[in-house]
Amino acid sequence: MSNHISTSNVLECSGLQKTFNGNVAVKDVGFHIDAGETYGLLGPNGAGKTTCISMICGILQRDSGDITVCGEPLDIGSVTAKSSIGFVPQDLALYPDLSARENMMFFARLYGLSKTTLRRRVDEVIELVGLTERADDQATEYSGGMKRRLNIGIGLLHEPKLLILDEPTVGVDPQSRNAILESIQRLSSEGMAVLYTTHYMEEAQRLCDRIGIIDRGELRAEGSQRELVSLVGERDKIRLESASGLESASTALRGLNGIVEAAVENEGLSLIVDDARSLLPQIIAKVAESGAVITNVAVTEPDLETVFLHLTGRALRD
Amino acid sequence: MRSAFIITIKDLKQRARDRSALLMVFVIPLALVLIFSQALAGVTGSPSELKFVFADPDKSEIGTVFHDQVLKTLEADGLITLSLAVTEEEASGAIAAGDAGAAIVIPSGFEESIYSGSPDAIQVIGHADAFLSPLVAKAIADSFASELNTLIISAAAAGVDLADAGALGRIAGEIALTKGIVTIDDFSASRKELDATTFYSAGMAIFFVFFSVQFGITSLIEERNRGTMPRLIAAPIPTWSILAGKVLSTFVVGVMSMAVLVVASTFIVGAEWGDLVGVTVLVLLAVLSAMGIMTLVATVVRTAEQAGNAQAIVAVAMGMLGGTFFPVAQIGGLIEKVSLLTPHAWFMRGLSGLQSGGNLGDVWQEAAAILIFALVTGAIGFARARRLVAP
Ligand SMILES: Nc1ncnc2c1ncn2[C@@H]1O[C@H](COP(=O)(O)OP(=O)(O)O)[C@@H](O)[C@H]1O
Ligand SMILES: [Mg+2]
Repeated sequence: MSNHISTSNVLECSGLQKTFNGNVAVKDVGFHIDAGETYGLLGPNGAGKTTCISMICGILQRDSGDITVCGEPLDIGSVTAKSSIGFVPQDLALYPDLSARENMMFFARLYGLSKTTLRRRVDEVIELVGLTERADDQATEYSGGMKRRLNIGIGLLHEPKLLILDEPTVGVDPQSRNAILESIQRLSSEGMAVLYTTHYMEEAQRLCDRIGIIDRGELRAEGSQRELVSLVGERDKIRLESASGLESASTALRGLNGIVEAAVENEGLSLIVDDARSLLPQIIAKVAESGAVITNVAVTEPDLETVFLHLTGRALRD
Repeated sequence: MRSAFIITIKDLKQRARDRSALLMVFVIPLALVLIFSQALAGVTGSPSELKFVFADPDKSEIGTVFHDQVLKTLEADGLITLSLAVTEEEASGAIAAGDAGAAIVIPSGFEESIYSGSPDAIQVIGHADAFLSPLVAKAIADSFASELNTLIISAAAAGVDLADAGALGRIAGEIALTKGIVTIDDFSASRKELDATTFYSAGMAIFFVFFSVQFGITSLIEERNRGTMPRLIAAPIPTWSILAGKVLSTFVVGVMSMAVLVVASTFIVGAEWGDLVGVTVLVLLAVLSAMGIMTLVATVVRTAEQAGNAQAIVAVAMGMLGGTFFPVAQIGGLIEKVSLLTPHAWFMRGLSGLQSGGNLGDVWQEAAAILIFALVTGAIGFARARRLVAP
């Protein structure tokens, strides 16, 4: 199968499968990423994103499937393939009793950086993630955002061909988040292939050239944002907000002609409808009937959340 | 191997920053050795400190035999120092003056009392501050008296007339010639024990090395809890090097903790460890056995906290049983046998062999026993620890 892999494919994986104690966490997942391309795995908590990434990084044994990185087959023991990957785990992965510089020196050595480039590269990355002033303080004294940035920096030390980030912005303040997203965009423009997982639609839209929508371990659709949205067709998205009663409203609305999907997510009801303008009066009446007090209504073009709702019948965030 | 070294150095750096680990590894054991050696300075009974004064106001044949054949033999063997007094008062005076730790007095009328069939006791007078001398003096006197009794009874049964000239002397003389003087055997046995200072230095060294090495396996658990384990596995290094790095850093810390104690106790409190090669081998093996046991203990429980507790319990229990706080070898019997289920006991035995002039060849059995502990527990513990190298 390796003869049809194009040389520009930094990551190629197919048929990935993982079962935990009889529960399928990842089922037949496959995709590829080119150099300079950012690929997003978008899906809710528990969709199987981390499991996919763990197999691709070679830290979790897969049940079946193939992975090649820069043309090298990857397995748990594959030293060569692993050396092309920069990995930023979802949970902070650093030594709190060591400083940012010591953390980076340690991992840079593990990635085989030579003595001559070691210090220069560590200084560069410390600068890149904005930790220059605190570089020699123990990481335990850092703020949450600083730890996150250090966590990401460690993955960049050896200038990997493929950068894998697992929800790197969870629990990060908006300013740091913005800085993180900007540096990923810059790295991508320099030719790095990026695999990025998130359950935030906005991040996927802003960052990713192509997006795979993953739910319950399966890749449900894949493509650019435009391609994915076109799956929804010429339809509208309506979002209603109310403090209560949305569940019964949702049930009532599903029976209405012209309503394609309805799903509740934290104090909001998302609908996909054929034509918002003609249906809106009926919808509002139905919701009022079921006892909910509407505090806000928004009609928009379909977006990635709409796509997810369309594909799975459920909201992306619940 | 390069990656294993990188991990080792990182671990050692972390260990050096951990104040409580430094306390446990170096400071506390050394402090305890100092305290023990201070506390023991007053009561240790190194044989040359067993100073006895002997008085025989009875001027009997038995007294002469006891002096010539029992006490003089002990003195000739270098086990005691003996001086003589004429009266009980003089003996008491010598004790009061601090010239002797205990007095053994054959009371006047002693021989008479034997003819009468209800023998008096041999008197032992001890110095108030002396701990060991009166005990030893009493043991010597008692064993002599009881042997004497036995022989008198059997002589009487055989129809010997005790009142015959020289009969009692011959009987008493038999005690010294037969295995009668138990105390001599006792003393030569106890001479093979380590002297008190070395004993506590060695005891603390092996007791605390179990705490020094326990971080090795718990740091592996910690790497998982902190999320750094996935990062290590994702790195382009063979996975075995992660475990190898941990083993190596643990070994280094264990050896350092024991080495510091060996060197410091030698120079500060004058411990005598014996043959350098033998001590080195015993120390290295002791570290390995501690690593094996602590790893095994940590892998049979579920959480890092449970691991820490279980390790502490096992380390203390084995240390007690293994005779690092008091010499189980002198207690003898079942406890001594059970203590051999710990590497501590073998380590202490090996060291006493070295201290009494042996080299590695003389203590190879002890070394082999410790090695077996290391291999068995290490193999099982290592196999079980491998599953910890996973995300
Ligand atoms: N080590 C594991 N053991 C058992 N189940 C697991 C394990 N890791 C993940 N899972 C299950 O696999 C599914 C996917 O999890 P995960 O990949 O972490 O999702 P995501 O990263 O998208 O939130 C979840 O149902 C989760 O409970
Ligand atoms: Mg996840």
